[in-house]
Amino acid sequence: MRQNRPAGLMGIIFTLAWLASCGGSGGSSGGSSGRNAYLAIPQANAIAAYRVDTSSGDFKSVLGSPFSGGTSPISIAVHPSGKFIYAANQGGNDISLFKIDSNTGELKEVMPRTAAGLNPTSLVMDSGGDLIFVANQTSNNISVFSVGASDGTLTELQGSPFGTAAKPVALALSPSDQFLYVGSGNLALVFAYSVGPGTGSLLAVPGSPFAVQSAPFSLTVDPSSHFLYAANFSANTVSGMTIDSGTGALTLTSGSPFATDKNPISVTVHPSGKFLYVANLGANNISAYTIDTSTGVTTKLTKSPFTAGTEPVFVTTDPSGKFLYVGNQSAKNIFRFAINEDSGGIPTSTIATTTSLSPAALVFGK
Amino acid sequence: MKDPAHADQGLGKAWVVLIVLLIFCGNLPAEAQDMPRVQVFGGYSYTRFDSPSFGFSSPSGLHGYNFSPAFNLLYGFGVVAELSGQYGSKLNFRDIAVGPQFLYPKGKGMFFAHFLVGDARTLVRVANTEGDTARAVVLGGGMDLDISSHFGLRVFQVDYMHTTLFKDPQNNLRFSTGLVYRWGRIRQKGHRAPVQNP
Repeated sequence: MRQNRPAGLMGIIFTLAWLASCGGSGGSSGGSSGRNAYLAIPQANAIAAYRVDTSSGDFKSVLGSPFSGGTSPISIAVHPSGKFIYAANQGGNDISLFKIDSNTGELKEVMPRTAAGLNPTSLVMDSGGDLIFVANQTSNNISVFSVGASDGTLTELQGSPFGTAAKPVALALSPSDQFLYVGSGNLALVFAYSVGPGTGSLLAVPGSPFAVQSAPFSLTVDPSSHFLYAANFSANTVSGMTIDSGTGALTLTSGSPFATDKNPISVTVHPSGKFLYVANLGANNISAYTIDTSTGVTTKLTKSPFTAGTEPVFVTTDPSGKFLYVGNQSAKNIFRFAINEDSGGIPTSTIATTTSLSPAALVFGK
Repeated sequence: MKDPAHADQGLGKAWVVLIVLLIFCGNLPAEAQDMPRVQVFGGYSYTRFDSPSFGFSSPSGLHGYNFSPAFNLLYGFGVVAELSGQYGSKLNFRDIAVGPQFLYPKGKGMFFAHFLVGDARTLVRVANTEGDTARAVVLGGGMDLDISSHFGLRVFQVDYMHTTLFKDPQNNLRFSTGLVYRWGRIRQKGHRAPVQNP
């Protein structure tokens, strides 16, 4: 009927408008299904930024990425507020501060950069976003900075830098923020420090340093702050150690050290505390273990190791624990594994993103 | 940058307008009437742009203009072109497109629908300004209301715009309103002009 034509036309328009408003590529209702991820690309002197779909684990490059920064950013950390990123610039002997645009995802570096020691290689931040610790590999010390609450600027603390092991290459801060652990690239030792509350001063833990095996290039502490794991690059093992909650002292767990594949270079614990993953640079694979959360003892998964890309240099999980990401140095890409949250298995992998140059570190923001 | 909440509020108001007009227009009696040969529309437009495809956290609300001349070849059918520009603090978006339009007069109203194909260009202000050009497809329609013999009010125009800027698909929604200038006349077949008393 003629009188129904306008109504029909209006109905079509209504439907179109509804479809367009409900659809759209990714996060059309305020972006609540995504979070940010940041990748250090040292050879590009830049940090790449991505939006991550938390359901699929897919990476989507933010427009304008990668964002230029200092010389050879090798280690990065995101402030808990999601507003700032810090990068240790190995070639520039300094720290870059980037502000994150919450809408566009763009990174803007705030100049001037903050001077660190010589050859900063590892950077960690405490859970409150108040302190940053930087391991300076050539000057053999740890720089400690306080973080400005409003603008994220860094101020070196009195007493910093603190002398430490020869060639400090790895840092791990317990989630309790009480203890800092430093792996020496030259020695089969982990140096342990208690962190002065409010001051950030470092005091050697009684009994420190603690023996691991050769070249502990990567350290990680489980979410409960009970266990530390050290990837011993030259020994092809991981040392598991129990942390004394009062002193921070370390004792080897039963069965430790346990075998990995060739040249373990990066180690991480699943957010549940139940699984351990190790990237083996020399074998192009990932070793996977369950963790007994009461003893810290690890058991290798029956199907481990799992094939990664060429020369995996870092392994990390997303904050939800649904996905494991592996950065492949020679392949210049990031592998994404879906984690079986019951068994810890990572049977399937896809390429989350490719990079033009080798990736060095990946962190997740808000 | 417009608060995404404003974008949603604009969308909500548009729904109310659509629903009210749907109810109103359904009750208007149908009658034959002349149709303009030429129409020129110019007015304000608001676009809900699918900027999460660029990595933004949420869609962007853009404000701008819409200009479209149309030439009606037959009663109820013509060709329309559009030129529109939409602007926000972080990005702007322009398009030029052309295609067929279909018209249906009803009382003092003129309903229309169109399907347009053309090009869209965007400039995004992040780090270094990034720009891209891509194909645009526009599907939409609306309603004009007579004000005088030459002027009409475009009460609303709603367009779904599909673009593929930076090699990613965007599903955008645009609302427009403004004035329409009309001239010339097309009479429906079989209908004569009213006979004037001598």
